[in-house]
Amino acid sequence: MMKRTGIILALFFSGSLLYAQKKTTTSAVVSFDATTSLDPLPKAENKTAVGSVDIGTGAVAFEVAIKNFSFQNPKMQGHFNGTTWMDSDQFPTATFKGKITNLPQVNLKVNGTYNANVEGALTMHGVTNQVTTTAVITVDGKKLNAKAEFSIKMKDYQINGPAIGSGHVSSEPVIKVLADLK
Amino acid sequence: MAIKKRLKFLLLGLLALALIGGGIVWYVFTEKFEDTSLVDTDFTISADSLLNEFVHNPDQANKKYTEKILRVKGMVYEMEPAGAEVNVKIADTLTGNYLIFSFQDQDAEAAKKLKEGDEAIIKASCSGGVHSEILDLYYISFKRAALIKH
Repeated sequence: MMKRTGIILALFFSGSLLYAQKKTTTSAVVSFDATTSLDPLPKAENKTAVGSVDIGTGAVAFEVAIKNFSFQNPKMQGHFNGTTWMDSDQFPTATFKGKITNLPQVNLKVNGTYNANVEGALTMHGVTNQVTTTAVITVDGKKLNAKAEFSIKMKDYQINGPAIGSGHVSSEPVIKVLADLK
Repeated sequence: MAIKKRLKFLLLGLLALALIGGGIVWYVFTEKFEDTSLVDTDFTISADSLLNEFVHNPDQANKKYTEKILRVKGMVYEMEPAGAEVNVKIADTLTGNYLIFSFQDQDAEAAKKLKEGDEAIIKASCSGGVHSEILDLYYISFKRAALIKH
């Protein structure tokens, strides 16, 4: 009886390990491009975003520390973190929580490259909005590589600084995400 | 004659102002962050002590260290790919809390030579610490890191 229970427990735990479904990274790259013809400076990268993809349920989550967006120009970095833009003292992170909506066509347990439709809630500057995008996900053994690109409207997140009104900062910046998850 | 002279001074004054204004705009637009290895260090600290401060009093630690240049010593826990580059992670293996460094362009190749278990000294701009809901732990991120020693 003891032996049988032991075998059942062993099978249960080995099964859990075998199907460890959550792939994570702490070094996803999120780039932000709000450049315009008037100003090439408002663009930055954050290379330390945290991300996870559940290959079983299709749940997707990302979070990024606003202050770790790195700009080439010190003045622009100051504006970005300031109260008229991201106000990073009050809102230190941006988060995305969503899911892959075409999971039957995206088998993340089998090697290959898939176009995944992703939908979820993006929270930044203390405001949450629904966003949808397409991500290209490549499965290679236990690793996933994910790439996505989408744009947001600054006014949807209550960001209305004077630089946007004057055309120096794009009102619809492009956000790119690149993540190697394991 | 006096009017012509005044007009000449006025035009010269305007030209000087335009040149100064243009110079300021040019400076602001082309200014870049200095190489972190050459910037004065605000704090020298071990990775363990820094994590300890952030975990025990995050508000105070954020006020003290955010946007300051830190020289941090610790053991490399993981080298993690970040696009074409790598980030260096120094972690508390018991709690999972970690420091993570993304490197300035001029140190990106040197950082790739680090290995897990190496003792490293890294100088970087601290972006503060936040709690990760995804991982349920605390992390402190750094940008424009320079590898001082390994």
